[in-house]
Amino acid sequence: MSGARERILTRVRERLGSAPEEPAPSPEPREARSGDVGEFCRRLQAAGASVERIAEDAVPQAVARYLAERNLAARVKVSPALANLGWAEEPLLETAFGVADLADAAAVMPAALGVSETGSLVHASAGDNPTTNHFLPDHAIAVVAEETVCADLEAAFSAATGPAIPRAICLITGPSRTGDIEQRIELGAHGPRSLHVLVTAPVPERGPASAT
Amino acid sequence: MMDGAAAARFPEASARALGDENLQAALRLLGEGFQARRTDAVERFAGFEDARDAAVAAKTRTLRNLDRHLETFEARCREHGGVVHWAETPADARQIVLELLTDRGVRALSKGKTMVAEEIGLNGFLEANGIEVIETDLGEYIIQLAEEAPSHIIVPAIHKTMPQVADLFRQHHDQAKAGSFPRRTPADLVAEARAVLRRRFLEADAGLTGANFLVAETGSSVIVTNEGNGDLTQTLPQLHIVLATIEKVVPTLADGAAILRVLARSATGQDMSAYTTVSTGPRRPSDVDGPAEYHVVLLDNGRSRLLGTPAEEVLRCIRCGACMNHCPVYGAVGGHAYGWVYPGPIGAALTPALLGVGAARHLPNASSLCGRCEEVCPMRIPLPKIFRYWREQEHAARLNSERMRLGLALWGWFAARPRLYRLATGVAMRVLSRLAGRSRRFRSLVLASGWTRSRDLPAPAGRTFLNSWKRRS
Amino acid sequence: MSVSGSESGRGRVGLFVTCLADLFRPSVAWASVQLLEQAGFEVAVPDRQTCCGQPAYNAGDLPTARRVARGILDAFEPFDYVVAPSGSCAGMLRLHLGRLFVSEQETAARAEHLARRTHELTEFLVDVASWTGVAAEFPHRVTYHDSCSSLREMAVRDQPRALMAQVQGLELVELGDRDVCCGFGGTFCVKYPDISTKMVSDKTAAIAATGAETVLAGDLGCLLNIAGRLAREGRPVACRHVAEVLAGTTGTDPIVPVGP
Repeated sequence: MSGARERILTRVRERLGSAPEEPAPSPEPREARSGDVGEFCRRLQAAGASVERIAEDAVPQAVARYLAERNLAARVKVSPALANLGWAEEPLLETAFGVADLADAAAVMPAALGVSETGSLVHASAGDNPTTNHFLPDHAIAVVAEETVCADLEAAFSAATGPAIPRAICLITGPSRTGDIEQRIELGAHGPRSLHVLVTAPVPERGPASAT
Repeated sequence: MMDGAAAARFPEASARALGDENLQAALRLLGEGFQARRTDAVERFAGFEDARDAAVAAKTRTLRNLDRHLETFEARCREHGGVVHWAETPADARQIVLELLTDRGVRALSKGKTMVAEEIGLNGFLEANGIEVIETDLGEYIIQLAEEAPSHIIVPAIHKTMPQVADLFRQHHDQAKAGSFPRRTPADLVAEARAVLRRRFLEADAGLTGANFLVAETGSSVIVTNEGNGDLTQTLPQLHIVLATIEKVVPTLADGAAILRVLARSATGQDMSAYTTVSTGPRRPSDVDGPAEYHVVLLDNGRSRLLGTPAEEVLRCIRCGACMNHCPVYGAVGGHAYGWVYPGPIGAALTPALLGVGAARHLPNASSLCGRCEEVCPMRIPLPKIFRYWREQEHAARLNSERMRLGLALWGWFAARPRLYRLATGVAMRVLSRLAGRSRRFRSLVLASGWTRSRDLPAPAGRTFLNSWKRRS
Repeated sequence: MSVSGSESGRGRVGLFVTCLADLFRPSVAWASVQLLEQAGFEVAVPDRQTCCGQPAYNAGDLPTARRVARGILDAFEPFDYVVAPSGSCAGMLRLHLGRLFVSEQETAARAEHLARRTHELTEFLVDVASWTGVAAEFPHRVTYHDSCSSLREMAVRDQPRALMAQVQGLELVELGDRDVCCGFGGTFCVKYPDISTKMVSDKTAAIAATGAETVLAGDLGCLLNIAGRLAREGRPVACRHVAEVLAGTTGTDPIVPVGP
């Protein structure tokens, strides 16, 4: 369609010509304020996710416990970015690292940020952090560090785009849902039926881990 | 694709809709469904009015410099490895998509929900060219099975009741597995659709999505969904095609944030939809998933011609559906009666621009101008004002009925001559009042049959006020 | 030009009668005159008025709407206030007249001047006159229908309720879906009668659900529509303009007499 570009842009310019008013600039990026972790957790729960606050070194145990409590098989696909969380300490939990496929009922993946305004997790795709894992398994277990929780969407976008924007930035706010049949909300349309979020706190150096 | 001629048959289609009990049952759910949820969401969020203003400002800024933002979008998209295609017409856009698919030997295309694809009649065109189209949004999937068009922009199968959906699944899904699908509740049906569609996402060689908006500064496309189907559609196949109209671009992600703040609240009454995904280019060298190719088809189809006209504010629309959820006309006749892709108030404002004032003349007329749509529109689009604008175009082009024109001319002639008007109305009201007799009403009246078919016409008092007042003083 | 209540000192009101009150229900205009005089205003009724022009304006016939509008501008020039017992007509005068004259600077300025002086009746009595002197009795259970123009164009919602609260014996039961249109919409109700009928039927069902004996409203268009449908359905609910109740002039029959 060569020429279509020029014709469209020319037409747009001609039409805009009658309104030569100088537009206001986009607002300055907001200062990245840190968010309220309690608010973040409350909103996530309101969106249908379950939330657990744990110490950052307690992820494997929390995952094992979560699966056991729901009578799910002790088997998870883990995004490679989380390979170093000490999975070996949970010998009964079967872990594989990589991209999720249809055989994976549950997956564990990191979220780069949390957003307290909306209760959203922010996934930023990377070589060790596939996007598929957030969407394909029935049960998504996301790990997010409490110090990454930022205040609002603008701060989240600004932090997630960083020096180079990742291929995919996903704001995830609760499990998959649909209202397509008689406007009734049902969870687990195509993406995860459940979203469990582990909000981790730094472990004080040399100190014992404590769950709050 | 529904053709433009269907929009011209609005009166017949709306009469059918009013007599369709299944449809009426489905539409009755709007009040306690989307309307109540939106009200709750707005009440929960103290900053809603400010957020509306910010969203309007973001989109207004966009449109004032649309050409620049489109060029920036294209340049940034290309920097990230994406390809931008420009299409002036639906036929151009269809051809671009088809060539992208056939050049790569694509046999099956998965689709996220996109109204623009409906606008250009993409499914039928691709299927005629041997490509299988897999609708993945549950509502789109339902109407694909039913071989119908969407009747709502965010809830395509809103006109279907649960038993109707169960029937469709019974007809179309593998009977061998019938026993494992109980089909008693919406949850059963959602689970069934999930099971059936799961594998199909992986079978598709290409995925096509729309865009809630495009971001100029990053060259990204953004989709907002609840089901997660859009993300599977744009993540799993090797080729991702984004189909978007030119007014969808916004300058920055911060502008996008301003829109997100009002979108879900207005649409479904959620504070935020489950998934908002910003996609920028194809997979990177180090990535382990994502499409190998990322193409954006930018379609004009009449948008550029709207700029600078009194109807240009429709270009602010973010397709939340609040206007139709709250419209009493939409609530009475549903989306199919409108006869084209965009129903409800936004359809009545946009369709005349795309199909012509003649073909779409009923749509902006079929409004009591109650203004509830404008009241709930997060982008403050003055929909009644735009309906009036189209009515003005219609009148100026003499497309309205001769009877209407004659009536207006006659009435206007008297209304501009107060003395004659008082004389004529004085006589007419006296006659009418006598005719009404003691019941003080008309059960039928020849020149007012539209009124008296379903309601009595209260009788005038007899002497007009202005004549009585004159006698008093 | 004829004037009444000349002893009052609060200013001169030009009553915009509205064509429907003029032709169908003069009692609404009489009640309006009485209320305005009770509130201390001098009321005049310019005899050059006919209609606000909405039938033409909303049908896209701008030349006709302009012809009618010029007459209004002339007729209502000399008043401190212009008051209409209708949110719809007041909305036309306040918000739309100016749009007809964008290319005529001088006329546009006159329209703007008119817009600033124009009020819906209950809004005027409450917000401008701060009047609390309702001296009426109406010992009935009533419900109130907000017209779309009153609600959305004129921001009239609390004012009629503040006045009704002063009426002895009046018990107000609010309508369900009270912000939803009754389906009148001017020519809409005859151009798309089936849709209009569905809308008004929903409205009459909501009215019946309140158990009210009388439905009041501030716009005769809605009232004729609602009364006509109630009568056809045989529902024994009376319809009146709120001004009649506030003025205590309810000796007249309701818009359609209740009963066979």
